[in-house]
Amino acid sequence: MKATKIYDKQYQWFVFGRDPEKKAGIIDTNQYMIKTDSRTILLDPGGIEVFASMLTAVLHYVSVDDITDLFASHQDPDIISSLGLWEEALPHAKLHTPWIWESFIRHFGSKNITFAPIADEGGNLDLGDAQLQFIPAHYLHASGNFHVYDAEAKILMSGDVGAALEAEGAPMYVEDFEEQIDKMKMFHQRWMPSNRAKQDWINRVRQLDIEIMAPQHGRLFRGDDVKRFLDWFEALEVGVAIP
Amino acid sequence: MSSKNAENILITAATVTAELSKVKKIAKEMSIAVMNAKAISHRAGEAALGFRPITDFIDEMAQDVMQLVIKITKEAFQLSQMAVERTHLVSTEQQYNRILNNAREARFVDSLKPAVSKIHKQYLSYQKTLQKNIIRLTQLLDDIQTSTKGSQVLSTTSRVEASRARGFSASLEVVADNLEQATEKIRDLVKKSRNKLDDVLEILKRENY
Repeated sequence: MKATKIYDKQYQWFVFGRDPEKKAGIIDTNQYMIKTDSRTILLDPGGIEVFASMLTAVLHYVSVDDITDLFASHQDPDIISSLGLWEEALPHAKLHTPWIWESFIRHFGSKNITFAPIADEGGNLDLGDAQLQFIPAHYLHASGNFHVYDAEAKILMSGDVGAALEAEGAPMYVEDFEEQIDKMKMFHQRWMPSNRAKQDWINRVRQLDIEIMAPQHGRLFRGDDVKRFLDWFEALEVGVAIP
Repeated sequence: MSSKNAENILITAATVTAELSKVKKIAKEMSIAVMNAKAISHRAGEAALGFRPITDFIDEMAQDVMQLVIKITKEAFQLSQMAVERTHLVSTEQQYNRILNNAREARFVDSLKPAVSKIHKQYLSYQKTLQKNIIRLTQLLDDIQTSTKGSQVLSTTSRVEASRARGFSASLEVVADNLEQATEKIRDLVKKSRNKLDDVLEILKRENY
């Protein structure tokens, strides 16, 4: 699995993705890791199918003993179905996840991990050098959903918002926003159910200083492409599957 | 431990549980048939005097089988749960070994070794518990076979006594036939389950872990 460092100062942000060993028919996913001197968190660590590749890649940068936290933006299998496997190596880690999904996520073979439920209004996580905010993104697409914002690194991990259905081995960053639209449009129209929820999220996110918007599928947005995305998404009608 | 073996154990556990629920149903039917036979014997009066104690024996046998099946169902359910957990451990261990191999150049690969060792210990512990559980189950199955051992003699005696119950012979002969068929079915189902569990024990013994 490819690992790319997307922020490297007092602490580091990594994105893991484009797994060449991924089985056909499984959507490609981006997994994120934030590593400080004292703690490491994995954001949306992925499904069972990518667990081996993901952990193999992670071991190049961090010891399993230093992974203290996991974050699951919502309950989908591509986000966290690997939980039961991670637990074997991380018996003392905490899982931060929307409170409404705790009893559902336990179905993914979870026995011992400590759940740290996130209240609907969001919250903060102190990782030492890195201070993270859990930004509410309910109904985008899951009914309980959070994104992760790091004001120092100016990175927003945006879950399924900004996601695109890409060809194998696509670049990590958006290179031409107009070309990216075709890969994102259907995904957002179909997976996102609520225009009201979408607008609430846009209003909230426009107040953040964002240099990189990092979705869970597809490519990352940098600089002006972040604003281009927000403008495009604001104008997009979502929840279109109702006949 | 191969995934195929883990799957076999899982399937056997589920199959044995399902098969043994049939035994309980048959034993229940036997018990109802006995109640019917008691009613017939009562109506037959003096003519069926010899048949009445036989119904008590059959009833006792059916109750014994049902009690054993209750115990067996509990054990078989535990076996299924354990087989599921063990399958998960087998798959987890395979994934972790794959990671150890693929990440051998990784700087922090050694940090994974305690977890791999812990998974293996858990697996060995399940292996032992699973074997004990299967042995307990096979003993209970043997108890059913012992309880129903006299059934052939009982059905022969039933037929003799039924033939003496003038006017009620036909009805009591049906009871005797049903008893014979029911116990044959039970013994057959138990034998099949026993064989399957013996196969699982063999798999567990063969595994060179």
